[in-house]
Amino acid sequence: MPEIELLQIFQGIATMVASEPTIVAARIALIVLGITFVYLGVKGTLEPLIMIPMGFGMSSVNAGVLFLSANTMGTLFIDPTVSDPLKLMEVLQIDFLQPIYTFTFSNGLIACLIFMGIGVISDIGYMLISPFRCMTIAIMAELGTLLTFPIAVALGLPYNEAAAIAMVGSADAPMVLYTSLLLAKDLFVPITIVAYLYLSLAYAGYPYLVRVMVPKALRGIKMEQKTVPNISRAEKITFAVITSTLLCLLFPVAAPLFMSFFLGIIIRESGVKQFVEFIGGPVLYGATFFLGLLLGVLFEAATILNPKVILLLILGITALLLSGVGGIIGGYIVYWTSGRTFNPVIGIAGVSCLPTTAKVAQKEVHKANKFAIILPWAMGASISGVISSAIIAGIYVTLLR
Amino acid sequence: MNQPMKEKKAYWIGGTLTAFLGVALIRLLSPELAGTLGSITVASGYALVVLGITIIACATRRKRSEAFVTIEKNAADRERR
Repeated sequence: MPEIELLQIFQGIATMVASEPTIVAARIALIVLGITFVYLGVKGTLEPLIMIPMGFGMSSVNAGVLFLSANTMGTLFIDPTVSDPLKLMEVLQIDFLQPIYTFTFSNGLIACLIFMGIGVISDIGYMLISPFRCMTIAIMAELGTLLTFPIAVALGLPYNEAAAIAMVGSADAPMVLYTSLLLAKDLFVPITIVAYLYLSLAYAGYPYLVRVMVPKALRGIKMEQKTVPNISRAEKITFAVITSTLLCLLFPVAAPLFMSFFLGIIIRESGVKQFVEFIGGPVLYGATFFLGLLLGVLFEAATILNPKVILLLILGITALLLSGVGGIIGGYIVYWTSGRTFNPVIGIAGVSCLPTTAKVAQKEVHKANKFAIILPWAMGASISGVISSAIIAGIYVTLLR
Repeated sequence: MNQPMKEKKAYWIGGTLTAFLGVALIRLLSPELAGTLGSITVASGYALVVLGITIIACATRRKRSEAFVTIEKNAADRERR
């Protein structure tokens, strides 16, 4: 009977023994981090829709490293570095997640599918009930997206990478993915993971920001429901068609995002139930699931050892914090200009993490005054935030690509 | 075209034309112009696009008498019950 080495049977452990200590430490750290994400996702502390597949993918990929040849190590999950067509054809038949990565990730399709789903669940009528207020808040809520860019450049990042990480301030993860794929392909994995991680934390952190910046008396302001106008379907569809065409003409490079978002809105308003259910259900959640899983699988030890990751973590949190502060300042501007009848908490909803920030705003208002309903205005500000984020993404990509 | 849109037709058409005029200035005219004139054309184009969208946004505004009161009405109904 031939001599059997134990490490040959358990190659995941054998690759750890054969790797450099830093890589081993990073792999173990990522396995633990992945399991922690799954735990926090299941518990509901972090967003389960993203964190469960992402955490599981992260821990599995870092555990499942094997010897592909005598000298090379790798996994059977995915190879994001391959670009040669012949090699790609080979990898497509070996790595089980490669087809999803090649055909939906690198061309931005997955971000566009999520955007289409967001369009289907967004009622643009909420924005059209008070467009100027919503746009004021949305523009102010881009403070992080705009200010983080010069900060990142000052800290030594090139313009394209600085713009990609600044987009975290838009709090719109598919948009961050799309922008970073176009502007900083080498960094798109850590940037998108930072974005998703912080967006999950924003749900827990933004309420504290609201409480610090808005006194309880103002948080309890009751909005006058009588002035909510009825926006017809025809008006919503016309607005979506005109705005989408205009934005596509102005920023063709971000046209897939605009098209997807506004198509979702038009499908919703057209009332074709089958499409609404399909895009708002299987497409949106299927894309969200695979986005989380692939991001996790792409987060290998080499990624975390990139010295830029620490910088990205700092800049990401700065961008989100500034955007939150900017949104609330926007809320205050509308509060003052409306004769102190507008609840400034709505400002936080301008940070376009739809519908999370709108829910955060309503929750905080409800705690201060259980009779106050601000959700329609908060949703309007959030939808404006999505549009303004897409415009800023378009500007960054047009100028820096 | 429904009733509210018919009533505010001027806003919808005017806003759309203004915004598209802005796009035409940016995408068609400004590449033909060099230097300061080109920059002024681009800036004017963007200003017209913003103005156009603002005019369209005005079309969705309602007078207080046209207000839609579902939420308040539902709350009142619940209280009565």
